[in-house]
Amino acid sequence: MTEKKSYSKYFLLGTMLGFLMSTAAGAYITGKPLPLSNFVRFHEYINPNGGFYLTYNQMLAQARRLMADNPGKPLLIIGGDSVFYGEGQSSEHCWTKYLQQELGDDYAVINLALPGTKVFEAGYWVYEKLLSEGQNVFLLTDAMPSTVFEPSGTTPLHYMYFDARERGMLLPYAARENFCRLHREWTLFKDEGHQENLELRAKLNHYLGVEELWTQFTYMVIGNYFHRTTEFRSLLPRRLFQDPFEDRPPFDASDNEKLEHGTKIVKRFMAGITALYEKGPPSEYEQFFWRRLSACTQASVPPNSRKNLIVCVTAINPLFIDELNESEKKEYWHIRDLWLENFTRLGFQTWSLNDKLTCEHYVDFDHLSVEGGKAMAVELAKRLKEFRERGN
Amino acid sequence: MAEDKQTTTLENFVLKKNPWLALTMGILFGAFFHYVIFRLSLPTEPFIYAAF
Repeated sequence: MTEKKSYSKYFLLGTMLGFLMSTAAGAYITGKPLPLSNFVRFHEYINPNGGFYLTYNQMLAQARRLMADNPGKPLLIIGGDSVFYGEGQSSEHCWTKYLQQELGDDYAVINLALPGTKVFEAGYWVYEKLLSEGQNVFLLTDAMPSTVFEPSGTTPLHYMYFDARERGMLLPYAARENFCRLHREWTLFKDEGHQENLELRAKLNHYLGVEELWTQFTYMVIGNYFHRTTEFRSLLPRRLFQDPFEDRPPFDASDNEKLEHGTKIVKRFMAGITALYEKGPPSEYEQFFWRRLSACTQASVPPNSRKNLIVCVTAINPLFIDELNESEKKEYWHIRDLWLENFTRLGFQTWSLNDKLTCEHYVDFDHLSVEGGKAMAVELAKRLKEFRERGN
Repeated sequence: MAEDKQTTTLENFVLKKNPWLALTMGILFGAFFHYVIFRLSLPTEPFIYAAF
């Protein structure tokens, strides 16, 4: 009769060992960039839009890699939304490539803009960290006059703010950290536990390295969850996916359906601001929308991080503005001016691109074609050179 | 006799090799548990960016 033995203690030991080994692997990988060749931008399959929640460290590491490859050159980070991301242009003809060409050796350009990202998110958080280290870094970001942003970030990059903060990458700034708690009436995230959940997620990544390890695993080894963008190819590692964006043709001015739809968006945006106006406040800036915008802008960026930061106010396709009647047009430009002034009044270097882009430069409501991207690159390169010559 | 030999081989594998088998399975389970934490921390509702 053989004596029965229990080996559960070995299983338990193995479980602990497996968990610790994974945690150690996560810690080892932290701070290493994704092994991307010929990086142009974090394309659809390696950004949150494609279900790939890249970590703050991966973004920072990408910027550090470019700095290491270009010693002595100032780093120019492109932040902001899909307009600066280059939606409408293929990776090959992405506008930031032309910007790099125009700037030559003056700057090393990196595109950290993402679709849906707001003016002071993602690329901005990388800029803040590098600037606080005393690096020669600049940020060029865009703010379309309709973007509602928040100091701690918004969907889909909200998690990244907490990731960066948890790791001590951001400067301590009480106005930003307490914004949600102090301004319950202004925050977009009123649901119970929203912030706490993101803080817990950031802690799990910090101490266990879960996202650091498994995003790299998803990129390198095997896809391990279904996503609507990858569909039946969800099991393939993300390294096999190429940037899917193609060069899109200029917007078809005879497409009345889209024109009507876009015009409705503009009208809704304007109504969303002016419908909330109250009688009484002595100046327009005291109205709800502008007060909130001003508070969010101030709380997003610590004062000592503003010196190398440029906010570009991009414009919507002029064809859509032409659809408005005269008084609506007047109101639109007035709101656009107030938007621009918001950043200028708070001490930001603010550039408007409205008069430099024509309807032929657009592929839709607000995104640019290859030609539009080129025109923007030429204009911004000129201004950046002047900016540098002036010594900021 | 052949049956006895087979039993012995099986016993050897299950009993003598079992500590290593249990350890290996444990390591895999530990790594899987680490992965589960990753998956649980991801948003349940995907972000859908709708470009006009």
